[in-house]
Amino acid sequence: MSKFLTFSRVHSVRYRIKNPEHLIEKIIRKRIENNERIIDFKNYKDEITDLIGVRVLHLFKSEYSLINRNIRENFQIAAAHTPIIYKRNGDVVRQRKSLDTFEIKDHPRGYRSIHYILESTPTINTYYIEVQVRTIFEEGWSEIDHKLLYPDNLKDSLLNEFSMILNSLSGSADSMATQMKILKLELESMNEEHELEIKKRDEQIKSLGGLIQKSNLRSDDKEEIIKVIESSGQYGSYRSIFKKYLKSTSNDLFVNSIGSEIQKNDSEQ
Amino acid sequence: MKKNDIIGNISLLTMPTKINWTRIFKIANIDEEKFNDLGLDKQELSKIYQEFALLHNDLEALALFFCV
Repeated sequence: MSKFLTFSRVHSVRYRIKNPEHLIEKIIRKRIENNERIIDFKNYKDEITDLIGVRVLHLFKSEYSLINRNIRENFQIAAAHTPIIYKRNGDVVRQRKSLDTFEIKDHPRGYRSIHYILESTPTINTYYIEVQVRTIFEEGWSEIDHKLLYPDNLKDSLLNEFSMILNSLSGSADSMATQMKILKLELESMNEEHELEIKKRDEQIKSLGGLIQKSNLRSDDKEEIIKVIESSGQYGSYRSIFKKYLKSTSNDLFVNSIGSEIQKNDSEQ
Repeated sequence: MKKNDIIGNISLLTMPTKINWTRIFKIANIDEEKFNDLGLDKQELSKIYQEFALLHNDLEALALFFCV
């Protein structure tokens, strides 16, 4: 079995075991929310599914899909608990087949995260593990929100407003990170194309050198041209030397044009 | 004995297995009267607390197994 930290695209992993006092507090809270819900010694491990909590953090939003695939391939998702995508009200979720296996919910506090309940039976007992997958910016916001607002300041309007602004900024930070990633890929692709162009140009210059040698140009001109080719290697220098032969200024056609002009000159002489 | 074993044992020894109701009420933001109205059984909750406190290290090992 692979572990979370070994999954591709996972930046870091945090885990915690629920504090026993917070477990009791949660049982009390659940009873307050629903007076008919019974959580007792026999069933508390089934009813409270976050006794073990794991946070899987990643850098870019788009990475969730690979992490999702790895989780599903390597762990047992509890049948009674469909994974949930928590989103902020207004977030656009593009319909994709891969999302059919999720429940999508708007979170009132703008919390964005993907939650899974996994099950593991290492001995005779089955344990549930709550796994939360989110970006590090989302993690940063939720940690600050939790630290400053829970449990006493949930109704403070100013703190709430600031927290919502911070939430929005963390969303923007995620968008910016995504744009930077796209830009980096574009730059890498452009550099690759540029390298290929340079290679192609060098080969053309090399063949041009041969052509010049064979031409009927004056030997002074030949020497000057070849000297510049060998010493400079800079596109601009060739332009200045060859400009008297050049009619087209198209960069793509530049070397070919020179070749044509030289051949033309040869035939005219 | 490895370093991790020592930390594990210390953690086990220091994890209180006796419930402190004053702290629980404070965390839950509830007073004893309201708690009694909920119909929860203190002894049952104490049993849960005790078992879970003892289980803590095992679960930590399980979590670690999942993570790294």
